[in-house]
Amino acid sequence: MLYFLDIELKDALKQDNQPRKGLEVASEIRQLDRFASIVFVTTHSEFAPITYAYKVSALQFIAKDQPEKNFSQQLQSCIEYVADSDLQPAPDDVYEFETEYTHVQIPFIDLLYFETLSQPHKVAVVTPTQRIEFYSNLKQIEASDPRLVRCHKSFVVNVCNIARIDRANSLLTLRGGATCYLARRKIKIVEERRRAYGGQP
Amino acid sequence: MLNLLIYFFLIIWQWVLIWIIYRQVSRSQISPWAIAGSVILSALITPFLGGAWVLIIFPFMLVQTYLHDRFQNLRLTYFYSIYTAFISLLLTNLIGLAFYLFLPEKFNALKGIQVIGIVLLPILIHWVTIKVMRINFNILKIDAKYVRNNIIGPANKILTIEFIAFLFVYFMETYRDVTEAVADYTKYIFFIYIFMFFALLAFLGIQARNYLLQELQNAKTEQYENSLPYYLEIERLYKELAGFRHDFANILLSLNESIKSGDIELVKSVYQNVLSQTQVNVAQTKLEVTDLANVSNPALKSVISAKVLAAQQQHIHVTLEVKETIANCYIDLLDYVRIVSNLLDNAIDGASVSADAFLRIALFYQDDLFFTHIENSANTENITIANMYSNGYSSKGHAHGHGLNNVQRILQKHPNAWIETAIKEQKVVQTVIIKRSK
Repeated sequence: MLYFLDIELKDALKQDNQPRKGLEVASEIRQLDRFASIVFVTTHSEFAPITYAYKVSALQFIAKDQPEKNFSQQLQSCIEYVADSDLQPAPDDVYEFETEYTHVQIPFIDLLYFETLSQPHKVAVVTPTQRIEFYSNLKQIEASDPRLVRCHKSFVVNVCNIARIDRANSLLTLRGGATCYLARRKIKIVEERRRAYGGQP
Repeated sequence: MLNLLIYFFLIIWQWVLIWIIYRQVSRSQISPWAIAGSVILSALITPFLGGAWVLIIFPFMLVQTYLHDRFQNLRLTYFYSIYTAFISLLLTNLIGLAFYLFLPEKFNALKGIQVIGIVLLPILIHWVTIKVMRINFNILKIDAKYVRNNIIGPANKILTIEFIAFLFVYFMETYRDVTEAVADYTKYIFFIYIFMFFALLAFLGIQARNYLLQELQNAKTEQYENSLPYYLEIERLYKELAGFRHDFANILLSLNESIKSGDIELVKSVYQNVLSQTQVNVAQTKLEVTDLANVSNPALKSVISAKVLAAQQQHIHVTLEVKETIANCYIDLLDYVRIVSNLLDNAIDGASVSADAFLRIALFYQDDLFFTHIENSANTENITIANMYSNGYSSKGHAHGHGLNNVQRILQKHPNAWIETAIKEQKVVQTVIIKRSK
C-alpha cells in the first residue's frame, strides 16, 4: 500500500492548521500496516527525509512547489519503486535481534561476527557493510544457532564466512578481509563446525 | 597438616591484600586462574626463598597484567604491577613496624591479631587515602600525551626508585639479626615509608587534577574557536541583509516614481532589471542550514556551524535537518560535542575526496531516544567496517588519533549510548543513539 501525505494538515473539526499532524497520521498508518510505503508531499522547507525515515520509515519527500513535469516524474518513480519492492521475496535465513529502537534482521550470509564491548551486556554485530550495537551477551548468541561459534573470549564468529584459519597467529580471516581472534583451544570446534556448515551459509 | 593449612592461609591472606590493591588501581576484572596461580606459585617457592618470596609479586603482576590485556599500553601495565607490588609491601611493612614500635609488649603474644591487622589495616589505609585525596585512577587509562608523559612516566620512575630502595632496606632488616641496633633507625624508616606513600599518592592526585584542568581549558578554547566562525557568518548574513534592505528601499522608491508617472513600460523595466535579479540573490542564501536555529545549546550550535562552514568551503553540499528544539543530549555535553565533532571531521574527510560531495546531518528525538544521524558521500570501494574500526585489535597494535577510536572511547563511558555504522552505495552513515537516563 502506498500513501501520500502532507505534513501540515488541517484539522476538520477545529478548522485550524496543525503543523505536524501528517507525522501523527503517518505513525498511525505505520501501526496498522507495517509494510506501508509512506511518501510526504509537502513544501521544500518542511523536508526532513532522514528524520522521517527513522520515525515512520518514510520512503520519499516530494516538493509540491516545483514544476509539474518533475512532480509527476517523482510520483511515478515512487509508484514504480513500491511495485518493484512488492515483487522481491524477503530473505528467509536471517538473524534477528532487537536494538534499543527497532527490530533488525540480517541475512545469515552477511553475518561476520559478534564482539563484546567494554560496556557490560553490550555487543556489536559486524557485517561487511554494517556494525550495530545492541544489548545481549555472547553466550546467548552462540546458543541461538550452531553456525555461530564462540571462537574467543570476546568474539562469536559465523563459521560460514571464515575464509582462512591462521593457526600461527591465532587469527580468523573472514570473507571481505575482516579478522577476528581465535583462542587455541577453540581451533578444533571452529574447524569442525566449518566443515559441517562451511558450504551452506 | 594443621601447619600446612596455616601456611596456605597465610599465603592466601597476603594475596588478598595484593589483589585488592591491584583491583583498586587497575579497575580490571581479575581472573580466578590468576588468583589461583599466584597462591600456588608463592606456596611452592616460599620454602626455598623464605621472606624473599615477595620478590615474585612484581614479575608475576607484570606477566599477569600483560596476559590479561595484551593491547594495553605497556607503561600502564608496568605501573599497575609495580604499584601493586610496592604499595602492598610498603603498607604491610609500615603496619608491621607500627606494631613493633607502638604496640605495648603484652600484645606481642597475640600474633593472630597482628596477622589479621597486617592485611586489613593496609587495605583500609589505602582505601581511605585514595578516597580522601580523591585520586581517580581511571584517568590513567586515557590515551593522552599528558597522561603518558607527565603522569605514568614519572610515576613509574618514582615507583622503581622507591621500590629498589625499599627492597634494599627490607632485606637488610630480614637478613640481619634483629637486634637493638635496628630499632634505633627503625623509627626513621617508619617515617620515610609514610613519606614515600603519601608523596607518591599526592603526585598522582595532583597530576590527575592538572590533567583535568588542562582538558577543561582546551575544551573552552576549542569552543571559543569554534564559535568564532559562526559569529562571523552571522555578521556576514546580517550585512547581506542590511544591504538587501537598502537596495529594496531604493527599488521601491524608484518603482514608486515610475508608478506615479503612469508609465507601465518603465514599471516593467524596473521590475525586470532590478527585482528579478534580487530574487536570484535571495535564492542563493544558504537555506539548507537554517535549521541550526533549532539547536538551542550554544556549544553544540557553534561546533556544528563551524564544521558546516568548513564543509561548505570544501564545496561539500550540506543539509541540516533539525525540526525539533535540541536542548538536551542525555549525556555529558562535552562528551557529546566531542563525539559529534569527531564524526563530522571524519564525514568531511570522506566527502571531500568523493565525487558529488555531500554531508547530511539530522538531529531528532523519538520517544526517550536522541538520534544523531550523520551521512556523507564517500568512495566506498575501499572502505570496510573492519578498516573503519581498526582498533586496538589491529595488527598494528595501538592505533592513535583515529576519530572513530576517540568516539568509541568516549561512548564506552556511557551505558546509555550506542553507535551504528552502515556503508551504503557511495555513502557512509553513522548514527549515534542516546537514551534518556532514568
